[in-house]
Amino acid sequence: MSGIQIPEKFFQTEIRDFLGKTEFIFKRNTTYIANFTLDLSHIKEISILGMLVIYKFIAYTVKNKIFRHPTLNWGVTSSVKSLFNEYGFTPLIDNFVNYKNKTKITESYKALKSSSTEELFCAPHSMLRTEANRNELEQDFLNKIAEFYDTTRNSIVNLCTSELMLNFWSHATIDTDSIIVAKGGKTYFNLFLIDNGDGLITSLKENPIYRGETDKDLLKAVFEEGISSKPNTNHQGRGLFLVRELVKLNEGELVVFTEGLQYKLKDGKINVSEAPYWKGVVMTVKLKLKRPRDITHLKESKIRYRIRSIC
Amino acid sequence: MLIIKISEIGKNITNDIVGNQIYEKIKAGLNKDSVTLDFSDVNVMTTFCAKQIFRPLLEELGEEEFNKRILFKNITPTIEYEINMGLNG
Repeated sequence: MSGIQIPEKFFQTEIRDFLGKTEFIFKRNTTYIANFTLDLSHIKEISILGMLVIYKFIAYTVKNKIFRHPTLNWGVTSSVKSLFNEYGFTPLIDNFVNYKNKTKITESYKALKSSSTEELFCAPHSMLRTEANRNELEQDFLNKIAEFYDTTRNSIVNLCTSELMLNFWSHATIDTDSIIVAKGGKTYFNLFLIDNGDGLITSLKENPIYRGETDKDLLKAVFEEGISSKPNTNHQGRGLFLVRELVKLNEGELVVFTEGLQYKLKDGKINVSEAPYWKGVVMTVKLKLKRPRDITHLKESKIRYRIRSIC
Repeated sequence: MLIIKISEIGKNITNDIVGNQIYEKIKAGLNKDSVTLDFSDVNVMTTFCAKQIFRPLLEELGEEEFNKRILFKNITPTIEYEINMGLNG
């Protein structure tokens, strides 16, 4: 009998450990692993990111048929399930427990609605490339954000969100693989994205000029200005750069797990280190919005042309 | 002078579909007259769309004609910054 037990508290540090315990799913051979148990019954406190990686682990292992007769243990009471339900993850997980077809999963995403009270919550949503899904995402994320925040905060939060959506769309290999969740208040905003796509390093290597670099150097470079996997297109290599700069300007935190490395920006310092392997990207963006600073606080570089603005 | 209210095409200018719609609308307007682009009620524009829409217009018109025939109204500092980046991208 093999398995993973999720600890009582499941936050960022524990997520790194969890990724270490689960990286075998991306390296497996063709045989099923029998009698696997994912034990959630001990959880007392869990972050949204924690729920997201657990959900993604379940989704990936079911879709890719990693286990034979796996068990998901919610515990004897409904307390753990209630935690997941609060943020809309229970129906998503249930769909995979009763996995039959893709249509049902897509419907489940559509059934989730964002709620906005004192705090902003944008429920987990898949990022499909269809026009209909993009419109839904705009409604459930970008318009909600715009309604919730004032102009300056909205310009920061919506720019981060839309640039990251675009980035995930560009490197996701399977449409249902990318999930986005957001939570915010008047003085903060947290965004979580996850996928099992190509990953930031593999994506950047699409551009032949980066193929000779080490993975660590590439991951550091991904967030630099003008670095793009798609040269000579409308991708400017400024999306991830602006996200990084907005995190710096707003004393936030940016943490990325991708393809065996971790990128961390905290207190203005960047660190790239070895990490458990995750196929694709796990990304957290945290912004402090007490004294919001938008991109106009950045120094414009290489400006030759400028628009004429009236009134 | 033709006024194009951008938010009537899209409040969130975040992908190639809406970017292309805006570009085509501006092009059609420029075939007849100069245009004023009204950005009131626009939430966000990605760097991708800023370049997709405005860089080809700059290349087609040249800097002088671009500045003479395309005016921007009710634009937030953030979107103005992004368009300037797009023009120079």
